[in-house]
Amino acid sequence: MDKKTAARIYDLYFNTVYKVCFLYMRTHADAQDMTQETFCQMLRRPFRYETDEKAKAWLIVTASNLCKNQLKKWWVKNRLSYEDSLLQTDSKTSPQNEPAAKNEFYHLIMSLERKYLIPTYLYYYEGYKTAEIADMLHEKTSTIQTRLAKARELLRMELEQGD
Amino acid sequence: MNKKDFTNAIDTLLPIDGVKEDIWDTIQTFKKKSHTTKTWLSLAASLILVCLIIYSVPVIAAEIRSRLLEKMPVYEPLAEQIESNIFSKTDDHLCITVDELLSDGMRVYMLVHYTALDDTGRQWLSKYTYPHQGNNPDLNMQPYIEDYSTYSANYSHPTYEQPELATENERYFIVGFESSSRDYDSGQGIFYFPMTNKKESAIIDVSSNIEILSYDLKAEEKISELYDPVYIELSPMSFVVYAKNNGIYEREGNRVTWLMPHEELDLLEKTTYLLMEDGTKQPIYSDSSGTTHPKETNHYSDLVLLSGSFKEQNGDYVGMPILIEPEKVIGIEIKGQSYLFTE
Repeated sequence: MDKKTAARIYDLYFNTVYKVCFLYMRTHADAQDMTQETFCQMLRRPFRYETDEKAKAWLIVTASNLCKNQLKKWWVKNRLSYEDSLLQTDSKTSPQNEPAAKNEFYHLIMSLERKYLIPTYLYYYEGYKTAEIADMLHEKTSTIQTRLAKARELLRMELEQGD
Repeated sequence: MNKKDFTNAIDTLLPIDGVKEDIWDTIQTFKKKSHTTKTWLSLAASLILVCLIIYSVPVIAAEIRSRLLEKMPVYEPLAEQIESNIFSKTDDHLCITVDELLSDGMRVYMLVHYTALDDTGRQWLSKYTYPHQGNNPDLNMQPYIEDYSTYSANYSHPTYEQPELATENERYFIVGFESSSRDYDSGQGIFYFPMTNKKESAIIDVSSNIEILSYDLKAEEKISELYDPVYIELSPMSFVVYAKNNGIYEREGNRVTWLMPHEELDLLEKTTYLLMEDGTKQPIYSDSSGTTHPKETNHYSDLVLLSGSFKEQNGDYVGMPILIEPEKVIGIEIKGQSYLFTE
């Protein structure tokens, strides 16, 4: 990939990759590391650019795989809880600076297990179809559909309990 | 919560100003450095070190086709759970490497390979023999147990050579163990392996990377006066049903007297099914049951009622291992009594 295309892809999809990484890793420091590693892979490996959409899908899959691998390492497994991570987030990006309602939604979303959260993000935020998400996450379409349904149910339940 | 609330919340997940530019600058530097001789030399040195020191860095084989999966394609859906570069040791003539490991804590499989480093190693490798495929007394993996007085689960430790992968300098083996439960100490295995001059051993972390689902079992009616199922653990590869002993065995010190009639065990195994979310029942094949000591790791039960891996079944025929999707299991039926799962 030539440098000009790489820079354009980086500029276009940095936020997407960062969000995927944050949803997996739950801390800004780790999300930054994994975002950096994802784009390193794009530059280091034989990556054939075809279209922007294919590049985006490749970046999401790579970011997901890198984060999943990282989370399996024992020192990550035994490190921080989500609550701990909130204390460590930078004040400029912390949801604690957001309006109360958004803060509440943020906490709700981040309380979802990753297996529900990532498909929900890809479906509702990125607009991918369930079959495409299944392909990206190496799951069956029916599994993704079940997880989306479960995520919807969990978010509703949490809101009701909050009321 | 509606879609707009969700997207608004996700929109807040951004780094502070300047991070985007910093990361771009950093990866540009990495890219340039990756072409320098110094970096390649460092990489080569690192690779050599792999065979010189014992280490345990789990790196997941994401893109490289796994040799473990070539031999056991049934586990293909678990490819991401395979760890690589688990362990390595050399005695100057021979290098042994545990290349890959797949484990759900009860079913543990490793790809092990020997590489000759010189003529002495090549000679040893060409002469190394073992009694038979299966339980190998020299090269095997067993649960690491510090206190046998609190451990009574069963296990086997099969080892199978892969002769088609062998060369003049290399020999490959699949080494594993199959336990009847996960309540051995701290998820560790002890790996025994011969080298040119002596037999050696190493402790290897075999705790599961695979998600294990567990549920309390509650039913309206008792299915036996001898036992009461209380807990189940399910992974894609295996299951274990823990129970409360009400007379299935008696323990006096270290002596255990098993009191369950064979007919009862047969009946138990033939009338146990997983209840799937689509309404079907899947028979399960139990290859082990036994006593345990109540402790946290076995949910304070004192009996492994049924355990095993999932296998192809057709009537009395029991075939190759298969995988299941634990999330699609909603309960278990034992002797006609349904136990619907509760978290």
